[in-house]
Amino acid sequence: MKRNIQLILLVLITWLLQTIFGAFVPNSYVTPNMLLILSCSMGFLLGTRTGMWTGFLAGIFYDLMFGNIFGLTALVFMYAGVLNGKLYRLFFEDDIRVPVLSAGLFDFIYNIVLFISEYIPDHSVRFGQCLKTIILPDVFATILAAIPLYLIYRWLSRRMLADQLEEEQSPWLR
Amino acid sequence: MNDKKDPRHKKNRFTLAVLTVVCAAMILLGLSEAFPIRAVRNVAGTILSPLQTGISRAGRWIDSQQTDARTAEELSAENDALKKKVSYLEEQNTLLSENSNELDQLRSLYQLDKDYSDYDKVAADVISKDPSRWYDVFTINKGTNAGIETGMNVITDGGLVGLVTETGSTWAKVRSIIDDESRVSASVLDESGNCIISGDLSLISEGKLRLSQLNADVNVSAGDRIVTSSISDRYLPGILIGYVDSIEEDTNNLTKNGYIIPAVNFEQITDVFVILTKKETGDTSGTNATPETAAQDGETVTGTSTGDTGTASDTTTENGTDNAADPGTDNNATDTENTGTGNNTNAAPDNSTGTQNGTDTGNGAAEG
Repeated sequence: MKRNIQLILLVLITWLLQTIFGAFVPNSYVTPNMLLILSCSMGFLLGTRTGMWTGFLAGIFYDLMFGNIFGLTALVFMYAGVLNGKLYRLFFEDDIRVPVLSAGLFDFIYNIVLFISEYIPDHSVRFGQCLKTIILPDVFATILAAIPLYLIYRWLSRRMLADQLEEEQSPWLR
Repeated sequence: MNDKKDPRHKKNRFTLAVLTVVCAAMILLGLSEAFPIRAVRNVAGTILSPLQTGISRAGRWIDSQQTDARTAEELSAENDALKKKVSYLEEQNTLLSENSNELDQLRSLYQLDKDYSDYDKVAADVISKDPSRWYDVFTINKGTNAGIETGMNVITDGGLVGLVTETGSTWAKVRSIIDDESRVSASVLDESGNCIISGDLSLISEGKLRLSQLNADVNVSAGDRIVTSSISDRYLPGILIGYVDSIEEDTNNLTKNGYIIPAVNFEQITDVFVILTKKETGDTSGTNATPETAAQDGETVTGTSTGDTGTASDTTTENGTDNAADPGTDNNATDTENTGTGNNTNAAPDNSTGTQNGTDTGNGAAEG
């Protein structure tokens, strides 16, 4: 429960960061998907269960504030957190390439899901055009933003773990 | 380690499955509108919108600090130039007020409706924008407490911005016309051609709009102004949308299509006005947010009822009655409806099915 409260706080802080970014950067620049970076990073740093809850909470929050289909973002972010959690065992958390690239990959997947949700009602939407103007800039911006954000989350996660047991038991951690 | 792992493993797998089902249920319920998601979003938005407002104000304050850092000399020179401009403008203003009086007289002569600049408006600031580029939806800092309802038109000084799609007590969401789901029934100014202006995903980044369903007989060229049509059942008439960028004939040789450059710069919207008058249709329902947005499908072909298709009942009323001629609530008596609405749009006689026959006499002559 305490962990969930910490996660909610993290989601709020990330959302604040996203809003600040949106307010200070001109509209024509694309904004990175910071809540997705959060979900992936938490999964990678703290295991599958934390990733799952972070993804779910971040996704619900995203759906509350923005978005069209309620619950879709929660689903995608949750699985992003879980799948990143599986990576937890495979890589050192110091290896920054993995979470950054996986954030980019899951952002791409999320955009594809959104494209499908746009395509189903209206078949005239062209994939090539969307890819060039919407999806790829978004993925690129997310990858760029993931670098500093991951470092911040890593520092935070170390503080969160400071009062926990040191031995790791399973990838499904705390 | 394995025996310690198994029960937790199972428990977490179970939680994942439960949460997946919860998400899927929310998606389905949200799509079928059985669940009052709007209520939940209202609460969340109301709690968090002050934060968003604060941040956007801070951003703008910093911006203004930078622009204010100029020397006293520059300011004094600017002051002089502005004074000259003011006296010039005062002259122009006097001339224009005379014209405006004459215009009012002519208007009442032809019993036309008021200009949209006379409608009640409330100013609002943009406090946040949907971060993904799939949608062009932004949030403003006024809501139902200020009298804003879904379906109200949103404009800036330049022209039409969009439509209110969701409201909370202290905030509202506006879908701009360049969003993929937007469809506006429009007319070419000075001509008798109705068309559809729609947003398009592939054009969002270029900031252009698509024009379609324009009758091939209509003479249109680049630079022509496009305004909201009086037969739209969602938008008040006569609001400037943009300028024609390019036009070409369809393969069927019956209609034309093209691109529009919107009059509003959507990349830099900070302040908007919400017109508090709604375009009344046969079935007035102030809260049909999601049905309206969900059913913003393509228009029907010219010749029959054009105009934004709201719910199914909206289109049928347009066919049968002078629905397009329903002005907002604070406009004149019902007699004016039959003799034409909209100041500078011709309710396309070539486009109606004859239900708007009453408009011909009034509008034909008034069209400038």
